[in-house]
Amino acid sequence: MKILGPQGVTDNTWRSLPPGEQETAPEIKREAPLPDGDLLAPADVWRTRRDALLAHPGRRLGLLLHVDDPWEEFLPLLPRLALIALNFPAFNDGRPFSTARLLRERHAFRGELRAVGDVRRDQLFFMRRCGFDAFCLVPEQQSPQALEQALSALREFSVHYQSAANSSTDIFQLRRDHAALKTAK
Amino acid sequence: MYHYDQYDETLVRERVEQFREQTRRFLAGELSDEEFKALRLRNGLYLQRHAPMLRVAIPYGLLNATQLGMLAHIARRYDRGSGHFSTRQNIQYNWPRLEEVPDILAELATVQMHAIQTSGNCIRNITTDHLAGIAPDEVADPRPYCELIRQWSTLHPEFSFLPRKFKIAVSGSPHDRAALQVHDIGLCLVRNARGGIGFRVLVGGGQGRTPCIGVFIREFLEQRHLLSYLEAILRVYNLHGRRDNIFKARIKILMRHLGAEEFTRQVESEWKHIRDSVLTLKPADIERFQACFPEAPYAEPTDEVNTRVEADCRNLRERNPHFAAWMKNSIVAHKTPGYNAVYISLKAPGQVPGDASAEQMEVVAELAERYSAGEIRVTHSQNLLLGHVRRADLPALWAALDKQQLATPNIGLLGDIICCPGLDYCSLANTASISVANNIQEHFEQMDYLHDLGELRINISGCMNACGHHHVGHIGILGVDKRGQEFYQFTLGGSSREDAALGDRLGPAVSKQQVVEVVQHILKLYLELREPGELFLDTYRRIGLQPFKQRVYEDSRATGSH
Repeated sequence: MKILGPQGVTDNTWRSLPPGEQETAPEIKREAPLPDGDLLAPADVWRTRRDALLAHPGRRLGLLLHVDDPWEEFLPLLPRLALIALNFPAFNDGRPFSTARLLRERHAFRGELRAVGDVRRDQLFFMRRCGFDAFCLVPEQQSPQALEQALSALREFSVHYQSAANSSTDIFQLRRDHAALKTAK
Repeated sequence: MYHYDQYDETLVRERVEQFREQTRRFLAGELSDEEFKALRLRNGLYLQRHAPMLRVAIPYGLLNATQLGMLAHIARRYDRGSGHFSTRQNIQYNWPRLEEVPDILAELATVQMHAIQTSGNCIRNITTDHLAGIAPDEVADPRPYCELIRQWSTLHPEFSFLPRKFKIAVSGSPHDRAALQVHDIGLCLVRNARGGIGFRVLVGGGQGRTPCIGVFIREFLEQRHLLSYLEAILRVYNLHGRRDNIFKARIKILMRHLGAEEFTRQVESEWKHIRDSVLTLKPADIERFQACFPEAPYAEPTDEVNTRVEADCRNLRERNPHFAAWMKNSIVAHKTPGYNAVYISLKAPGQVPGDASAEQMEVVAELAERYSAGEIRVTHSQNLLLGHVRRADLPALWAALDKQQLATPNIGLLGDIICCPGLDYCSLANTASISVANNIQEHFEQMDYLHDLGELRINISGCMNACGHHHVGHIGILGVDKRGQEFYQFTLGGSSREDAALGDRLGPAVSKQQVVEVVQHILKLYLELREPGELFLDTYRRIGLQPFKQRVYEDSRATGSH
């Protein structure tokens, strides 16, 4: 899968751990060695294998969150996470937009915030403003041409009214600046 | 009124281009129906029974003459010569071609209009009192706050994919003419003990299939906290509102599930984090928005002129009963002496309630230029209003309106029926509503004339989505489909004013042929039992449902139950 990120289009280098380990023979799985490389683990794996995940200081770690996961319990982990992937179960499910803003603005998460799941071109602009900086588009939008189009979706608007997680200045502030400039003159 | 600055203009222009590209991709097969649906809806575009329907935003119901002229032009060029004003102060076109919608939006942008968020699961057009800024009973003009909320909610990155649609209304007066209590959020401008102006905040009202009167969750919110408090409410809703069942997804359901107290606790707890953030409005911000709504250039007449004008009006009233009826019915008090606000009824008998032809729109635009500071308002009861008419101009204005069938003196009366488009246009509706409205108007016009029924709100919805606001009609009529046949369910005693109430169900639904007869029973009983000065709603509240139920279902065998 290709990832659209701050550096443009790159290959996904993260290895995703499958969910549901605790349900299928947890005794065995808990003992099994973790694969090498950067690991993206879902919430339940983090719960059962937290110590194993944290055992290798050199390894980059990620957390995959679904909309129903109680993500606040993972807040103490934030400093150790290089990646949080928020899953969109459907194109029109807006919950991860709020979660993303809270992670960035309230909990100062500075790692990569990746949108996964039903991620499509026409949500990207909103996603980026809420603090996402990497996007894994659905398979049918993975062609080079579609990814090119997706990049242009990020440039569709040059202004916005709300201040959100990305740093660009909102219209309310632009007007204040403009008024201040006029008074100064 | 508010004029776009460079930023507003840029955003709307870029939105048009974005939608042009989305439409192109859809027509080229690059976007699925479902994906395009989510995108087109937030540009007001529905694919309807016969053709697409385009809903254009009229922010808080306010238009200038140039904009109304543009709406007329669009009706003529892209539609079949008319438009339909909705209960949310917007306008709908029923016959545009999908391929031309981007061009329509581009034309609208030239007069600072758009169709952004007139549909879809996002924050919809903000509505308000149609007498905003001119009502004598006003605490403060709500329009600057409406515009602030409009901008904050436009393309909001976090709240563009909510569990369900979200409607906000603002009132500047304790007399509620904006149906606050049946909105997702209702904001009422109030003065606190120290004379400061702020908002009383209501959440969780709504109509549809689970009608609810909202709950006031905060008695006083300082103006500067307006946006942060809204953001806190919306965030709690966005994270916790149900998404598994479209009929249980509105904020009213979340609020009832959590209980008002727990819901309020969550909002306040979220708000604590953001109340002193970039969302806090500075005094200069609020002043800037207030300055966008200056008083119209009123010239208070001299006593001499006043005396002459009053004498002229009196003379004309005596000579012309039509003018007299219009003066009695369609004229509203104004805070400035020598001026009135004037209703323009879009409910002429036989007309589709809320429809206006391109020619009518052009005439109203011209009359607004000549007589009312170039400004027009759309009311939530689907009429128009000129807000700043000199009393001296009333006779000339009446003559011009009358020529266009725009002076029907039925504002607030039986003929002023609120009505959704129903089966004739809407793909959601399962019964007709327009023909029912027209039947009632036709049958009872004479009765109203003879007996002076007084204020009476009949609201008709063609399905339980309740776009015709039947729950809050004094007499509400809801169309229901029963095995392919149209039946109509009556409710009595609803109100959308400050005494808001949901109507009580009268009894089993009746057939389409029986609707007029049932209305007749209800009105006759009211006429028999009303005490001097009592309006329908007063009588109903005094005597209750039972006598009406008995009259309709027992005393008259014709309306046996179904």
